[in-house]
Amino acid sequence: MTRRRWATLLYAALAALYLLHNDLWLWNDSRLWLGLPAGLIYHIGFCIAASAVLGLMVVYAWPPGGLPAAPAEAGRATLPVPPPRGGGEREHG
Amino acid sequence: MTVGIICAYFIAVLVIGGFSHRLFQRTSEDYFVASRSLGPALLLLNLFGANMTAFAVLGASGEAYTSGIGVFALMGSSSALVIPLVFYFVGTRVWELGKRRGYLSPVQFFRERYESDGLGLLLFVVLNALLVPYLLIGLAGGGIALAQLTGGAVPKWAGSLIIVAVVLAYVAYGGMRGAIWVNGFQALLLLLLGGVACWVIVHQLGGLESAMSRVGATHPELLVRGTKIRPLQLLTYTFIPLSVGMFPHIFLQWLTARSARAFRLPVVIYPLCIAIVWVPSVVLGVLARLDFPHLPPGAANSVVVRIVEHHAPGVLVGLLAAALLSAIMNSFDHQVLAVSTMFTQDIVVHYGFRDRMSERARVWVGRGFVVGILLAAYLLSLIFDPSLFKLGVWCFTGFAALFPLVVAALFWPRSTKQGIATATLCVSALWSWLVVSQWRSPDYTLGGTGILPVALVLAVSVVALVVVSLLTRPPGAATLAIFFSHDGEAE
Repeated sequence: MTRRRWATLLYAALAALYLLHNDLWLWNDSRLWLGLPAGLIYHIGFCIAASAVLGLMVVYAWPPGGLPAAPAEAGRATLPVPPPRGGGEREHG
Repeated sequence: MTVGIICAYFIAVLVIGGFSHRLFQRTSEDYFVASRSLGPALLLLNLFGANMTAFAVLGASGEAYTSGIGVFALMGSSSALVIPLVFYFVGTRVWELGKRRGYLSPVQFFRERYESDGLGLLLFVVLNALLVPYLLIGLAGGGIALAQLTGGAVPKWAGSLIIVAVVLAYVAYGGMRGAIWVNGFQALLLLLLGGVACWVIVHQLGGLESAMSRVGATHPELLVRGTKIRPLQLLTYTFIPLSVGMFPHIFLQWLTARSARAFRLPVVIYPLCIAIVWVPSVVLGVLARLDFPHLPPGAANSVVVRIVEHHAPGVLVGLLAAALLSAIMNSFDHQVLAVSTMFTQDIVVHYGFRDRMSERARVWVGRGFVVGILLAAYLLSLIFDPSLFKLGVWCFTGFAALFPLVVAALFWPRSTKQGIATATLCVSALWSWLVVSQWRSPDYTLGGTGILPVALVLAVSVVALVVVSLLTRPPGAATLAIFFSHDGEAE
């Protein structure tokens, strides 16, 4: 699968996660799961699921859109652009 | 025992801060962004530590004591999804531009992106004004924690003063490098000790199931969202964590990364760190109802300290104190450094002293401003005594409403300085009006609908930015080439 397809799939997974964050079905559920209220343990699971999807993103959808594929580590001296107007000049260029 | 552990903790912090000074390269880039040298682990600990404040530990447990477990869904799990995504999409791009263009502050970035000194000045004022309540959270939280933990032997004003003195020592001495190493240590303490304290107390209460069942019998409303939290409130609370995209101290943290790849670990592990810190805070806040069923509203901020004191042995109280102080100080120091950086780079250096100041002089100006801002924040904390949770939420509302600015700057070439300025002014005016008119509202929603003010301010910000940008002229092609010439290469 290409990076673009992975990215599309994972963005869809993120959208699904965002919707699943609104757990209306557990709103008044006071049952205890593993000793914790259902509404709390669900959101702990949500954090684990978020971490898993983000893990896939940094593996299969890296670099994020808009970021150059090549790191900019060596880029400061090579880019044909004027120095910034806002200060922040480079001491070690 | 407790006081001894707190003293040992402060000494450890000062020793680490002093040690980090040996790595200091005596340049302003090193003082303000640690020469952009952080690897993934330190970046994770610092990004996490910079976001975890007294709000997360004291504020969350106090709110859980009042409103129940729903507070974790509101602020904990929503942050677990939204904040890493901001790191992924915005943080990496900011880091890349910062590295390429040599930025040391968010104001420099916006100033160059929109070719406008005036816009830079406007953002300098607004960002600093919004940071003041955030600084107060740290100071008030530190004072409350130390007063409670020492049984009043250290009064609140003295506790806040001690926090100021310790932070001043390692930030002024070591700059970002000092803050980074101290925060790495503090974030580790926070991650380890909150869970340990929770486990010991739950054990003392007869186990998790038993303790929660007792809460369910006496205060069933705390185990559900019920009527205390409304569905629209949960939905719109997810906008609040967008604030990290405009926090000046997080912007500076992004600039400290060694490479874009260093962001990968923080993006993945951040949601787990959120759960590790927030869940014990919320659980202890709820369980505190068993021992302290009728605390007055003002005392809820210290409920986690009370329950630990009530159940845990002296050593654990001291260790929890260290964890609490870690949560407070590791965001407070980065905020102080961010304010100092913006003042030095965006005012002193930019307006007239750029060619007349040596590297050494810039560092000393930064240090001087750290002292000034700490003293001002301390004096404010003495006359202001709000709910930490409410103060935090309003502060985050303002920053979240400014989030469209950084998104437009990074991803929308058609955005203009007039659009950004209009959005900033609209947010400032509307936020100020809402704070004044809604401060006494107990549920922090618009007219009792469940919709949070952040949704309204964010919508106004987006509309103002888009409409005014489309009606005005975008920056020149040369400037746009700097910021967008790499688009498409990522594929």
